[in-house]
Amino acid sequence: MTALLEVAGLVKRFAHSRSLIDRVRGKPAGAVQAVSGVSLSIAANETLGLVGESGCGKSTVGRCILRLEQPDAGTIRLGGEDISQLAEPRLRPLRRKLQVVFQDPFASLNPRRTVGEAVAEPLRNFTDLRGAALRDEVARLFERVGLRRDQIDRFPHEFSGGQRQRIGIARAIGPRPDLIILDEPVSALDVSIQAQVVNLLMDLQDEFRLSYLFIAHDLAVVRHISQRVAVMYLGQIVETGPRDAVFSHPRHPYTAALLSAAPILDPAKRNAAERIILTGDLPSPSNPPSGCRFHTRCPYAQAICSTTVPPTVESSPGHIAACHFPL
Amino acid sequence: MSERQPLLVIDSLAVEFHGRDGTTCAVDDVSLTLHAGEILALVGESGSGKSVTSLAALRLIPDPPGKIVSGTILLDGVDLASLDDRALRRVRGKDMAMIFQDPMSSLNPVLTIGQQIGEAIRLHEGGGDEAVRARIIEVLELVRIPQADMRIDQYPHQLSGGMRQRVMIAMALSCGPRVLIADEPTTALDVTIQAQILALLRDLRERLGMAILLITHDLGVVAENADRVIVLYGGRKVEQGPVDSLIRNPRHPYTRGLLGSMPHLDSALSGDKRARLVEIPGAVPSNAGSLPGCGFAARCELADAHCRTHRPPLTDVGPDRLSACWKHDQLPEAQP
Repeated sequence: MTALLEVAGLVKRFAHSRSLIDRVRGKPAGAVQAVSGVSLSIAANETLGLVGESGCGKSTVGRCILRLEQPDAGTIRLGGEDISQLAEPRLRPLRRKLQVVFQDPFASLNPRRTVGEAVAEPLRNFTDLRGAALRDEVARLFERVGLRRDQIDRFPHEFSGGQRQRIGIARAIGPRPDLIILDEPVSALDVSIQAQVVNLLMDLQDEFRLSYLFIAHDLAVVRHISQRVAVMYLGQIVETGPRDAVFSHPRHPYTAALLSAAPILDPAKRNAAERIILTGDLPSPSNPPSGCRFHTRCPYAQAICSTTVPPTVESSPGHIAACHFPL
Repeated sequence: MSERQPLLVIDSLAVEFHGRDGTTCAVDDVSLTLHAGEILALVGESGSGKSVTSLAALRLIPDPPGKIVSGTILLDGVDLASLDDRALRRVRGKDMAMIFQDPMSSLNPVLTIGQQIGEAIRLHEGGGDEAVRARIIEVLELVRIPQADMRIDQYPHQLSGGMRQRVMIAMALSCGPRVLIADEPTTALDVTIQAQILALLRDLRERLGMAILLITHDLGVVAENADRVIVLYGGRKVEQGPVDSLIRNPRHPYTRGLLGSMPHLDSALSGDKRARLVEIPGAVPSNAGSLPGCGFAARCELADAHCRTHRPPLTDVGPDRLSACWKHDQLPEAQP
């Protein structure tokens, strides 16, 4: 099976801003390596869940794939073609195939334009639909995502958070993309609304044979929607594999810690597993720890972990962890 | 619960907000009791009235547009409504303190954390600079901030999100309150940091015997940290009970819906199949608080005409359990 999206060795650095004095003195600008050599792939009609805590670089990976950020190194192949270096005119047809839904639907909708216009815009850009036919297609998209046809002339502030997220989804599926980057699409929603949107995303995926890169910090939601999962820590993927393998038998101590930090509802199941509470905070990505980047917080770290970058170990087909002492 | 006198009693609280579009009832007839050393969770989605209830407990509802239209709030037997502003200020921070969701926007960026924590200590306890500084370091150590004597002179932007929330908790604890109101204290934090902060709150409850009113939308957080739970919907109390019993066997359709719509890490998913989540159809109606019948009726599978026109009373449904549902006895028994 060839992958729809294949990312290899992706690197993205952001320069620190320098003060005027430092600039006059010619002090070089420092850089944060937000993404340090990330490789991942997504097959057609597949969902890859990308999880990690804030600052781990997961959103930057998504923005590089969308080419909203220019990657510093690495390749991004979409349907076999490397898009990492394409310049603007040739990027345009690509933007039809790649769509995005952001976390905060309110911030991504123009408050002074009707939601119908927001959904029509990509259709006008990428299809020949105009006039009544365009309006008809917008109405059809509205109904498909669970909104009413008569709501298309309203403004964003007239909608609830869940409805605005549905509008964002309608806009993304309009041009019939191959891949949608979903960047924390349900984290701002109430639980009961979150379930509606997750179900809608799964239905649309089946109907339009979409691929998703589902970026989130909520492990339970990721487990629900993904076929495969990748776990990021400080700009690197530390573990990746089929959903059940990663969630039932995590090999990397960070994955295990993330899983054990998530609250468990059922009191009967709660004490079964020993809880790992990580000490300390995420180290600064501008000065990541040597060797294994997780060694400063890892309960199992040995001397070698602080000096040597851990090898990747494939414990079962497709289940890979980067750790000297996998669990 | 024991016969001890509760620390905080809220009785039949009702809060209204007056706007251009008329009056909205944000909290309607909510009562609660909180004992020393207890963690009571107020759970609900946006608009459920959980934050308004907690603000009302400190008499912090902005008036206008808000107004506490009825109900009493007793702290250690003293009716807060009978206190004037000066006396109220002595209560806030000293007896009852609050922490909020977003520590960055609650901290002043141009003052060191020592100056900010010291403000409350000077106000309530007084003391010379040396004594105040020693007390600040003591509370920073209480919330397990490493190198407290160095951190005390730092500014909020020099701390991580988890550290800032610890500073907020330190500030709340600085005058030794007996009641801590924690409004979504971990919502803005990552899971590994959330686990640290919740462990800290439980630990403080043990060490200081503090009572905590935990306001959250996350039933997972409730399940692991609270002793008792009150579920709010549309400004009304719909269910109440000890945490394990309520989560194992919810007796209100809304609580059941909430539990069902939450993706669980421990739920069964078989092989490659993805299971659909249970949806609660629709959204919270904005006028739920002023409906004649049950506020949840429009989204409830079991609702009939009677539910829509008659407001269900809170009924005894088991040991320490209350549910406001006409059909609570028609709900199937405990889910797996």
